Order: sequence, then C-alpha cells, then structure tokens
Amino acid sequence: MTPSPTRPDDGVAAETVELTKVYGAGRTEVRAVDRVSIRVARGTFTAIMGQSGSGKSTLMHCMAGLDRITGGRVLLGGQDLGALDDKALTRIRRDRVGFVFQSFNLLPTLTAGQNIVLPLELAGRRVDPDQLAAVVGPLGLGDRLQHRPSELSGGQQQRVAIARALLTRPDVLFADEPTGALDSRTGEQVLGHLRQCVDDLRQTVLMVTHDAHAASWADRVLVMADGRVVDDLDRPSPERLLGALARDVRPGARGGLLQDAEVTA
Amino acid sequence: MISLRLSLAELRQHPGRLGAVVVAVAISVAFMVASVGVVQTEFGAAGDALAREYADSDLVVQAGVEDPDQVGPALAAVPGVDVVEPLWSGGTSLRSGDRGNQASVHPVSEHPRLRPAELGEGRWPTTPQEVVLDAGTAEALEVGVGAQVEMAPADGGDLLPVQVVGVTAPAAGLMSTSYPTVYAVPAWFTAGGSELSAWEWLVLLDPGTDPQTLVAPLETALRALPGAQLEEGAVRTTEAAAAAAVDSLAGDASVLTVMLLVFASIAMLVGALIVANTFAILVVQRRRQIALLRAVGGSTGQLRGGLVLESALIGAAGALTGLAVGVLLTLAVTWWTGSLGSGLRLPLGSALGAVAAGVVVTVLASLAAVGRAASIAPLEALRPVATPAASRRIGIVRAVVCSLLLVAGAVLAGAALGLDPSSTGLPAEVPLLLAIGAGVSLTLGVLGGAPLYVRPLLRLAGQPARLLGPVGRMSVASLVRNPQRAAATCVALMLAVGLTVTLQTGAATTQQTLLGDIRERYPVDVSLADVDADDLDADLVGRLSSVEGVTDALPVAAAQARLTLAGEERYLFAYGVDPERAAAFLPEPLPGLDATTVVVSPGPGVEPGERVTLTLEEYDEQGEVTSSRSGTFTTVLSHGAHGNALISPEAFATLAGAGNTAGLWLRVDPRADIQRVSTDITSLTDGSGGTLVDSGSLREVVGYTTALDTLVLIATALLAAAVLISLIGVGNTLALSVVERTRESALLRALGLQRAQLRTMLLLEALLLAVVGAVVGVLAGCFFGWLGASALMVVLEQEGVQFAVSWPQTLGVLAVALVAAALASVLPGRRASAASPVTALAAE
Ligand SMILES: Nc1ncnc2c1ncn2[C@@H]1O[C@H](COP(=O)(O)OP(=O)(O)O)[C@@H](O)[C@H]1O
Ligand SMILES: [Mg+2]
Repeated sequence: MTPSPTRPDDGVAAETVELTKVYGAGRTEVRAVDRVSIRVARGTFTAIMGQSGSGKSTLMHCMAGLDRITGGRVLLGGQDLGALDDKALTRIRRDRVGFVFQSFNLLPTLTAGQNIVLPLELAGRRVDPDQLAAVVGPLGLGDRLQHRPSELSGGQQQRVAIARALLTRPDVLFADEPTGALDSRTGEQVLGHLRQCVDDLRQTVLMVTHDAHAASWADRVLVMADGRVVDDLDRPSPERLLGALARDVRPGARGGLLQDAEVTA
Repeated sequence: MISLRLSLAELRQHPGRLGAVVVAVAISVAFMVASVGVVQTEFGAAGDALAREYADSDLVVQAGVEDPDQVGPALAAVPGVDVVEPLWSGGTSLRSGDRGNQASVHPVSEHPRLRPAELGEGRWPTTPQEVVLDAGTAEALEVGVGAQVEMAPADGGDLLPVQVVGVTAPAAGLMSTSYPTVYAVPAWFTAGGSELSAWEWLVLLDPGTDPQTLVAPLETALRALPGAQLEEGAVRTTEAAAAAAVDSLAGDASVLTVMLLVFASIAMLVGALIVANTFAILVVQRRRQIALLRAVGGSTGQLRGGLVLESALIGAAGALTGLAVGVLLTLAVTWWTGSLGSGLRLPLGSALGAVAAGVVVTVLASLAAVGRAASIAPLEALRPVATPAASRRIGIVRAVVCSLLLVAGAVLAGAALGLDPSSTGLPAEVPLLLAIGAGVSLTLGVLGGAPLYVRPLLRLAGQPARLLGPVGRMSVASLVRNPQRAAATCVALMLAVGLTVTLQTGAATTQQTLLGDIRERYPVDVSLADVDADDLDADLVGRLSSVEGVTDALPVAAAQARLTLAGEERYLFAYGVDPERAAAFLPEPLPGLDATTVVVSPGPGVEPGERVTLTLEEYDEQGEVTSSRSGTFTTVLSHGAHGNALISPEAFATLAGAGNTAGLWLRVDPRADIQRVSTDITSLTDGSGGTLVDSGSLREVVGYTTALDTLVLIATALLAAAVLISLIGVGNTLALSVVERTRESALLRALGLQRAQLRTMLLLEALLLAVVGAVVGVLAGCFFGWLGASALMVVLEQEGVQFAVSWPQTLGVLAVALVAAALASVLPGRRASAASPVTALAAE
C-alpha cells in the first residue's frame, strides 16, 4: 500500500512491455502470451478475462515471477523481474506478491493461522498480532485459525488464502480463478472480499477469470484471446463483458488456434 | 489381466517409485549368492591347497605297519610302480636373530612331479643343510633367499645353522592354512638318531598305467607286510584323495555358509519391511485409480492378481539383479583373495534358491498392501482422505498385543537373570534360552508398537528442528502426518541398527566383564619365569624392558614350586619379590609379606593365616625330581600373587640356597597397542630357547580382545547390508512422499520458499527418521546386548557383569545412519526443488 521510499511511485504497481511467453519449440511451439503490454495502476482491481486457453494464467504467472518469460519485460513495483535469478525471484514472491489460486491454496499439515503467517515466517519477519487481527477480522476467520484446511469449507479456504496474501502487504495480489471451485453464492462473498481489499486497504488486485460476472466486480477488465489483449474495458457491466467475450468466440477468431493447439498437444 | 496392464503402465510411467524395492531385494539376494559363492570357492581352494601336498602323484598310500621302511620297497616291487616316496611329517623350531618360530617340516622329493608347493623365488633344497621356507614364515623371520637361520634337527637336538635357498609363493585364499612350514630334503628326516617315521606315501606309476588298476595290487602288497593295519581307502588314487581333502572341509564350509545366510536373511527381513512399506505407500497413492477400476467393474480378484503379479515381477527384477551382483561380488572377492585361481564354485541350486527367496519374500511382503488395495471401495475414488476410524481400532489391538509381548519379555528377562542354574539343577543353557526368548518377545513388542510411539518421538526429536522456523515445523508436520509410514521406515532402521548394536554391546560387556575378572585375578601384565630357574639373559631383559609400551620391568627371583592349599597340591612358580618394588606392578600393596609369609591368590577354601609348606623342586628331562627344598610359611591372601606364590627375597634365598634372577615382571601401558606389545614380547621370549613361562594376563587379555574384536568387526560388516537396506528405505519413503507432495512443494515455492529451504526440509525429515530409528535401535541394542551378555555370564558362572558400550563402534553406526540418511534425502530433495512452481501446481 504505502510504497517504499526507495521505489519511485509512479502509480504503477505492475507493468509488462511486449511480454511474450512461448512454450515448447518447433512444431509443438505454443505462443501462450504474445507481445502483451499492460500497466496495472496501484490500488485498482483489474480482471483479466478470456476463454480457457487464451493465456490468462500464463500472463499472470509471468507477472508474478512464477514463470520465466521468453521476451519483453515485466516490472513489479518498478523492479525488472527478467534480470533476477531464482533466489531473488523467490524473495520477490515471498515479500512483494500475494497469491490466491483456484484450489489447493493451503498446506494441509498447517492450521489456517499457520498458513496465513507462513510467508512472514519464511521471511523471518515478526507477526504483528494487531495486523493479523486486522486482516483476519474482516474476512470472518477469527474463530477458524486453529482449524486445519480439511476442516474448512471451500469459501473459508479461499478467505484464508486471501488473508495470507494480504498479510505481507504485497505490491500486487494475484488471484487465478479464485471462485472457480466455489458455488456462486460463496463465490460472490470471495469477490466481495477482494473488492473490499481494494476499496478499504488500497490493495492492488489482479484477478484472472473466465467468468464475465466475476470480472464485472473489477475496475478494469482486460480481455484476452490467443495470447493477446484484445479489449480493455473500464468498469464494464456484465452484459458488456458477455458481449466482449461473444465477439471473441466468433468462428475463426480463436477456433483455428484452439484446433492447432489440440492437434499439436 | 487388465489390472496388470494398468500396473505395468504405472511402472513404465514412474519407474523410480519401485526402484527401492528392486535395490533392497537385489542387495539381500546378492548377499546370499555371494555368501554361498565365496565360502564354496574359498573352501574349494583350501581343499585344493590341502591336496597340493600330493603334488602330481598317481596314488596316495596310508598305512600303519611294524616297520615303515619296508613299505617303499614292497610297493616299488609291484609291477607298474615307478617311484614311491614317503610323505614324512615332522616339526622343528626356527630362529633368526631374536625372532623364533615353531614350524612343521615337509619333504621335498627329488622327483619334479612330487614338488609339494609352488616356489616363489630361489630353488629347492638338495642337502639337509638347505631349506625352503613358506612365504609367511620367511616374512615373520625377516629372512630371504640366501639367509642363514637356525633350525632344530629332526631328532630334537640343539639348533643348527641351515641355509634358506628358496621361498614358496604366497598362499592364496582366505582359508589357506598359514601354519609355518619348512621344506627339507628327505634325508633331513632320517638324519641323526631321528625316530620319525612316515605313514603316508606318494606313488608314481610307469607312463600309461591307469592308477585305478593298481589300487588292489598295492593293497595286497601292503597286507603282506608284518603288522599291517589297513583302513578303508588305504590306497587311493590321488584324484580320490584330493576330493576327500576338499570334502573334509565341507562341514566347516556349511557351518560358515549357514552363519552368513543368517546375516543375509536379516538383510532380507529388513528388505521385506521396506518392500511392504513401499507397496503400502503405492496403494495409498493409487487409491483413486484402484477405486475407479473397481467402479468400472474390476473384481477384487482381478485387482489382487494384478498386484501380486506386479510384486512378483518387481521381486524377480530385484532377485535377478541380485544374482548378477552376487556372482560379480563372488568373482571380485575370490579374485582378491586368490582363490579364484582354483575355480569358481557356485552351486546352481543355491543361486536359484536365493533368487526364489527374493521373489517369494517380495510377494509375501506385498500381500498386506494387496489386501488393503482389494478392500478399497469403489466410492473411495470420490472421497478425499482415508477414514481414520479403522486405524484407531487397530491401534488399540496393537497396543494390547505389544504390551503383552513387552510384559512377557520382561518376565522372561527377569527369569533369565534371576535363575541360578547351579542351585536349581537346571541345564546351564536355560538362562541363555530364556534371554533369547525375552529378546525375541521384547523385539517384537518394540518393533510392533512402533506406530504407537514413533509419532511422539518424531515430535520430540523435532523440537530442535522447530527452532529453524517454518521449515523445521513443516518437516515435523509432514512426518507425523503418516505415522504408519514413518513407523515402518523407522522399524527397518531400528531392526538393522539394533542388531548391530546388540552384537557390539554384548561383545563389549562380555569383554569388559571377563577382562575385568582376569585383570583382577592376574594383575601382573607379563610374569616371566625360567622353568630351570636359570638367570635370565641380561641382554634379553634389556630388550624386553625396552619393548615399546612396556613401562616398567622388575627382575625377580623365580623357581618352580609345589604348594598344598585347601587340601589340593598345586604346581606353580615361587617368586621372591620385594613388596615395596612389587607395589608398582600391583593394584594394591602386598600387606604382610615378610620372611615368614607367602602371598597366594584367594580361591575356594583358601584361608589366610594357614601354615603351608612350599617346596622348591628341580626336575630332569624326564620330569623326575632331582632336588627338593621345603619351607613353612603363613598364608596371606592377595590377587597380587596372580596364581603363583610370592615370598620375600630373603626367604627365597634361604629356601633355594641362593637368590636368582630367573623371573621378570613387566608392566604394560594399558593405552598402548597391547596386541603389538604382546607379539613383540612373545617373539623375544619364543626365540630364547623356549624355557620361559608367562603367567601374566596380557596374553589372555589380548587373546580375548582380538577374538571378540574380530567377531564384532565381521558381524558389523555383515550387518552393514541390513543397515544399508534400511537407509534405502528412508530415501524411498522420502522419495515417495515427495511425489505425493508435488503440489505442496509447488505452493510453498510460489509462496516464497527457496529451493535450498525445500531441500533442507527433506534433509530434516530424513534426519528425524534416522535419529528416531537409530536412537531407539541403539538403546534397544544396548539393552539386548547387556541382557545377552548377562545371561551368558550366568551360564559361565561369572559374577559382576560390567555393562560396557563399544563407543567408537556404536557411535560409528549412529553416524553412518545419520550421514547416509542425509545422503538419502539428496535425490528426493533435488527432485522436489527442481520442479518449477507453475508446472508443479498444474500437476494432478
Ligand atoms: N506448461 C505448459 N507447456 C506447454 N503449453 C502450455 C503450458 N501451460 C500452458 N500452455 C498453453 O498455453 C496456452 C495458454 O494457457 P493458459 O495460460 O493456462 O490459459 P488460460 O489460463 O487462459 O486457460 C494454452 O494453449 C496452453 O495449452
Ligand atoms: Mg487458467
């Protein structure tokens, strides 16, 4: 939230320049992300939307320092990730990035509370009980901290993951289909919590989803197809988003690529 | 066989998962094959070496007759016989400088076909003043070809100089008898007034004669001689005699083979634990596939059949690998010892038996897991985790059974140690049998109960690891998550380490107890006395005193004596010693030793203050008393007498007519290499004409120490296979859990866990498993070693068991377990940390 004084605050939390990610080589080459240049403003809720296989997750993984990029540049809080080795990237993930995945977010051997403080402990940082309470309270997890993941519902597990992602005050909280494994009502609650993070804590959130309704919770929606960003919408309504998606599924627009990918897979 | 096809597909896809099973089975099968192969080949070579003395003869004759000199001419008279040579045997003593040696003498025929050994260098002797030495003796005497040595002649007279003209090639093979041997011409055996006579002859036939056809004619010729006593096979073809020589060792060979197979079976038992654990883990990992197979209509029979066949295939792969490794090991070992030269001997039946054992044990070990797999309900494909209720019930049954075993073991152990066989009239072995029963019962209780206590122990051992922060905490957490699996891994390690430490502690305790007793009763390390009461050579005394490790020397007066104590006549040495000077050699001063007293060792019925008569006697060659002087003394009891009688120098001079310096006491630094000190002293005393007797404790102490040390060393080496297999089990458990935890590792990496931290986590897991398994093994081993040694001491009627742990060896085992466990975590650790978080997160 409060940017560290060493980093120039240009209001940009994350940025990609001509980012390209290619899987495989030769005949099996898949261009999962193709020359994508985007800027994510600090304190905003951005959604990346698109059909399955359009490259959303890959783009997010590259921006979060989870995966190596093939070309272009990725900056996180002004730091060029391309120049970093595995150790430094790991440290970036630990200290400056938060994650919420679709499922399997939590370590089954640790309690909810231990899962939440894990990144801080890995960094050898002290856990401030007030801060922990401030993060856990609004998510309604106060009485669940001693439970193991197997004793929590899917929605509770996602909220634990959000709490963990928030506790390190990351530059960006990345969420990949955070509601994908939840029923719609629980999904709404989780989206509400993400929205709250942005509104109340000025936390930057970048969410990947294929669901137009979920994307409509965001301030800004980037629509992806074939590894490219094909649309950039400000506070779109669900209807507009469905339209944007529909435009994208016209025959020929992505069918060819999908078939290619399936043939070569 | 749909399930087999699935299993095979599974194997092809994850070939590494069953690698540990293959390795564990291969090691134990290789051990079995190599045990049989090495023993058979070594003993075969030893038999060949025994038969070597028959050289290239055609027939071997053994007979007792009135006049052995008649045998040669009688046999030579039989048509077809070319040469008859008596196979003399005699003994002699050798000396070169201060080094001396007893040796047997072997004849060297002029006939080139009857040379009894391979010459390494030099030539065969041609006159009685020339000899060939075997390589070992030449080395012991530090002489080579061309050297002069002194040798006792056949009639046992004074040593005469002889020339060493050759040295035989070093004997090959582990079992080759290293008894010192001198080769001399036949004339040596008959020189002077020698009363040696031959009882064995070698016969060479005319060219082209079949030896078999002459067996009967030669026997007839022998029977015609006066006083002929022929046993079955008095005349044998050399081939038959050689085969009999090989056979004569078969008994020893089979005892040794059985002993080695016991150790191999222990290795296989540990291997079976690893196999069972691996299959149990695999079934858990394949739970969903198995349930799915059941859901789509696979019967439990099909499932069982497929899994059993899978384990049989894996077992066969391991066993055949083991066979190949075992054969290679046999070749390598016997090549190294030199026995391979006389041919590899590996009975096909034993080799195939070992392979079959490997397959059968693998299948048996997998049965529990197969049963569990067959009981997986189709619905479990949809259920996330196994239900814990059933395991709880098993836990209670286990606790009850193991408690009963422990109680029974404790009762048996108490009985073993509390029984006094001499007072109850029971056979002396009863305590030992009870102790073995207690050992088995306690072992089953401890190992069987492992799932109940391994979890808390892991937590306890994990306390320091927790200090390392979340990495330490997570490693403890992932270990205790699968208590059965952790327990099975620890049990394998406990068994292997426990057995090793049991042997080590048992030997150390036995040694300490026996040596403590010997040292107490014979406090003088070396106590030399000349049987003829001749003064010791000053030069010899000087050399003995300056042997490295000898810290003090005391010349004393000594003579053979007779003493009646507790109604029993004893022959011993009377020493005239100054109590003040003797004090330095004894743990306690000699109280009350004066001109009127004699110090004797305490013993049953020996009372202090008794009036006894001490008689100094001299004997001639035939043992007849030539002079005898008696004196009356009052007894004083002290172990300082070390089985002899101590009187004051004045009393000795009065009794013997004059003092002498026929005795010498030596004190040896206990920290010195006592084995070497003893050898040095013996080589000096043996070279001095053989009239010195040592009644000190050093020799016995060295004997016990060397024998037990060697035994423990061999047993530890043999148990190393079991320890190795159990450590493979540690690596395997980690590797399989890494497979299961792919997503967890990925998540951790995504959350900022460094590669090195992930590896550290697995390292900690390996170390925790090893610490718990090895520490329980060491503690149990110490207890069992003590129990076994104590029971043995009850049998030997030895009191005051002194518990001793062989620290260097036991800590060595512990260190090996920890280091090897750390190494075992390397591969799984690399595998876990190499995966990129993205691909690993995607993994199903
Ligand atoms: N590890 C990989 N190896 C090869 N191809 C991959 C890999 N990960 C993703 N892809 C391919 O990249 C494209 C984009 O995938 P992804 O980013 O997961 O799409 P989305 O998240 O939008 O469904 C797909 O065609 C997919 O097949
Ligand atoms: Mg995706």
